Amino acid sequence: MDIDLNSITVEDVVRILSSVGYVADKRIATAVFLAIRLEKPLLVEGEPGCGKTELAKALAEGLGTELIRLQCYEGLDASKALYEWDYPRQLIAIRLLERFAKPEEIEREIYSEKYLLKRPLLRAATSNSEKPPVLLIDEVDRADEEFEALLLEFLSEFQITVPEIGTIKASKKPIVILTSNRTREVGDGLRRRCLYLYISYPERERELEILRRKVPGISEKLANEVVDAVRLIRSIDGVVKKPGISETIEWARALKEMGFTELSEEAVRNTLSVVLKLPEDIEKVDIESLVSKVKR
Amino acid sequence: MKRVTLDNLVGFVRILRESGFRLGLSEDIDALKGVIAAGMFDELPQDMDLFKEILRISLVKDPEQYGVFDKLFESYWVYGEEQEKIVRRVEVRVYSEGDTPEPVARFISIYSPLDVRGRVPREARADPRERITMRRIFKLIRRAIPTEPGVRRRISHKGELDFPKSYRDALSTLGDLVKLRRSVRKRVRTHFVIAIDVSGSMEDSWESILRLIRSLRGFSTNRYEVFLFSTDILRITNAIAYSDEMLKQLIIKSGLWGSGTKIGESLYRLITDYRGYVRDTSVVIIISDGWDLGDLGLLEKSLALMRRTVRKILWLSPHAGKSGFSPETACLRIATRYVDAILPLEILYDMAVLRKHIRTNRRVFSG
Repeated sequence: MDIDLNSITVEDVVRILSSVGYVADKRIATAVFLAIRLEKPLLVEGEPGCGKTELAKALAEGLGTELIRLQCYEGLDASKALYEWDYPRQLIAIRLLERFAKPEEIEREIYSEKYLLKRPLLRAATSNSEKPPVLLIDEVDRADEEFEALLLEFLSEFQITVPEIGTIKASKKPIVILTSNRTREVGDGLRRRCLYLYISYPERERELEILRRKVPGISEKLANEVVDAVRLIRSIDGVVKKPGISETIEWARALKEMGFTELSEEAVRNTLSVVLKLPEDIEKVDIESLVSKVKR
Repeated sequence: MKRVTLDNLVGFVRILRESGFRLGLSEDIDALKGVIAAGMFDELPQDMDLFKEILRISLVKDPEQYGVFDKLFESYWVYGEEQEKIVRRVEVRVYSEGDTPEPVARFISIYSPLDVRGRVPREARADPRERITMRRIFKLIRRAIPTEPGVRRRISHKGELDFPKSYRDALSTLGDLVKLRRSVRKRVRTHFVIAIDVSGSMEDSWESILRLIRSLRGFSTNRYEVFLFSTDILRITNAIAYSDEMLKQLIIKSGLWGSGTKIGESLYRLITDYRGYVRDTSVVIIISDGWDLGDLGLLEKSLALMRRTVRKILWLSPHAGKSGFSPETACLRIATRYVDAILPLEILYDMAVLRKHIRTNRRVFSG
């Protein structure tokens, strides 16, 4: 979609996301609108499976720009997030050059951009594409505090300093979306540099709309019943891993593929493991009562 | 309804700050840029929902503050009130079984969330020395509770051979393996989750509670989480850095101060709604006298769930340690089955008492 990002509106964002199958409510669209117009990173938190990562993917696809993804994990460091020197190639270059070149020339050669392995943050900063890329920093809560500190510099200045080369500043600020499942509290510094959006479970009508888009051909009766059943499961006391939207979609797909056109006790019994991933959670569901409530 | 002017925006941010939101100048600027980008500046907001979302996305960084934000937004922008009006008195009129058919005003001892909002925590003296003592006490507790090896490693000459590290280091010597590296697993740092009962029966312990909160200022917030509870629970970790006065206002406005106690319901919310903050490396410290008006079944369920989730549970009671104390209340009788120890609250500010309990509670403090 060809849209000038400097004059984008909330309605444009809704349209862009909708064109690639992401049903965004006004809150989500406003957050994305502000992230683009204010050129600020957007921190998206919420329950797992509520469409946080999908939001970044849909935005990149809708804008027709590159999606650069950095998956966070414990132990993630600068060499995996920013850049790393290509040591094997540097060693080969040294062996080849040591007979003919002077030491200073060798040094200049091996510390040139040619031997720099660009990791996601540097790739986002040096992207040459016409539109700014979407940088997805996924599950930032899994990374260590040291990595958060490293992100602070990048997110405030959008620049990276490579001691041997100098400072590389992004010519176009990427659209940055950070996601977190709140397994730990993201630091205050990072929070304050970002706009903030909390995505909770969607309203019934929005969830139904998502299902219609993501599972084309699903019968209206089945879609309604699946949404109601998932909402009832979420409200069951003591369910540890509450099903998100992704589980709703998977469940509807499974039921459709198995040829069910409406929810029945047999259908739920055969497919409940698609929507609940823990045996103790499955035990908490009274299938008979669930189906009767949905049918009521 | 107010116009979206710079003065009004700044006024709103000031009210948010006074209500416990941690907002700097950059958030002010973001909110302003946001309304300008949406074409709402210097006008009456036509689309109130959009205007509210812009302010919320720019100014609120914690979903637990959404409720307070919504309320303040409505009272400021829609009704034009500068400050939230707090109802301090509730008139209760009841029908008596006596002679008169008319309802009569009576004082009845029931819990009222509106009534408790009028109650205020007492002032508590600040002593800089006690902060140092309490920091030492936390260090001592942290050391006394055994830690477990984590996933990450640190270099140690006494550790096992670390081949990945050795080969990574060899790259700096052109691939020649000059030195073998050894490493050990890093110990996982103890993370404290402190749940403080601020119901009516704990009013006498307020001074100790405030001293505890003051001592936590300056610790990294990644090392602890603090919650206040009575009939509900409220996370105040981000509010610890506030001044005593702001903290007092937050506690008063939350409606928790001096009310009844529902420990089971509060702990259940802690372990389910706030489960991201309660980790398997956490040591949960519950500060309560154990006087409970809540569901005891839920209390047992919450403590059992917590027992499976966290490393240690310590229950600190202001009455424990006094002569003749035994966990007689129904709540404490249940708690004894799940917590590692019921200790006096004194251990948090008296080093000698803490040392004595570390010696006598070997089961708790040695693994």
